[in-house]
Amino acid sequence: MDARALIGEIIKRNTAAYPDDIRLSDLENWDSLKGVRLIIRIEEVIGRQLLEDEIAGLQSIRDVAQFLQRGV
Amino acid sequence: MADHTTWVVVSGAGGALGRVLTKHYANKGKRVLGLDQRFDRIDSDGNAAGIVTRQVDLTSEREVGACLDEILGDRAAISLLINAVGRIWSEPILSFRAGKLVIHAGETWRSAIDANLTAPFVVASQVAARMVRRGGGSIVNFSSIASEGNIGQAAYSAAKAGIEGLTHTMALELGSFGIRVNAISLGFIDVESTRSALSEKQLQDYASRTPLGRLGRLEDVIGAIEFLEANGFANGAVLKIDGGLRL
Repeated sequence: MDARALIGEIIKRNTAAYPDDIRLSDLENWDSLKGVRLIIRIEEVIGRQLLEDEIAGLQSIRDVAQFLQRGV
Repeated sequence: MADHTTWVVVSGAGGALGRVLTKHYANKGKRVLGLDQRFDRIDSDGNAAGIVTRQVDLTSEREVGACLDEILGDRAAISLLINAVGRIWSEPILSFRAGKLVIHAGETWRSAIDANLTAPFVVASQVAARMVRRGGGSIVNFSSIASEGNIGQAAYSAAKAGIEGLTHTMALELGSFGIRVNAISLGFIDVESTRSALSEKQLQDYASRTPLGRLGRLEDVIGAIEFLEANGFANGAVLKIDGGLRL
């Protein structure tokens, strides 16, 4: 799944204008509960629970995209 | 093979109320995980079909989380948490005993807060972390008539008021994940813990002051839990089950 589409679905905003390296916490309409929802959606996509260090590595749109591309 | 069983979790399962609730849900065909700090009076019922009990430190996130992982595995869901852990504690802020002015001890304050607020928080948050990944669930916390203040029960009252704040905040934060969090605020229920905390005269006094003229019964508590579990629009509610004592 495309990271920008997934993040856009969660924050209910178009993410096209955001740079890849923008931190998730800097996205408009972002809050900690959106972070929980992102983790759950990623877990649904990859079919397993994320490890703590994997969650810690999801700081930016690029991090999410790279994680999903790895297809783990 | 993945375990997709749905569980009911009961905290405080070693207490008078928790034991009844554990058996009640097992008798309804549910898989029940009963958690408590101690099971002093565990009997054959504790090992009845459908019931698993574990003795854990309910104030420890690590112990509670590990227990849920061990028993429920990766896939099993929790449909209902009955968060009944708690312990009545009575101690005045100030008292005059044996010729001394005695101040409420910090140690007993912390112990009462741990038993009645920290433990329910730890269990609820650990269960919620599992519920968000399994499409939601229902949490029922236990408050008390003491949440509005009760002479001689500063720590217990403060903890129960905290339970109501916790319930409201969890309902706000977790509702969008399909988790409903409610509380029942109990009056005087005729169970062993109430009888050991109050004299017969006090119990009769509370019964006579209650518009219904009696103490609450276990089935009154069970009915409230079942209502909050079944009503899909109840969220953040604190349901008074006190026979009208606070009116």
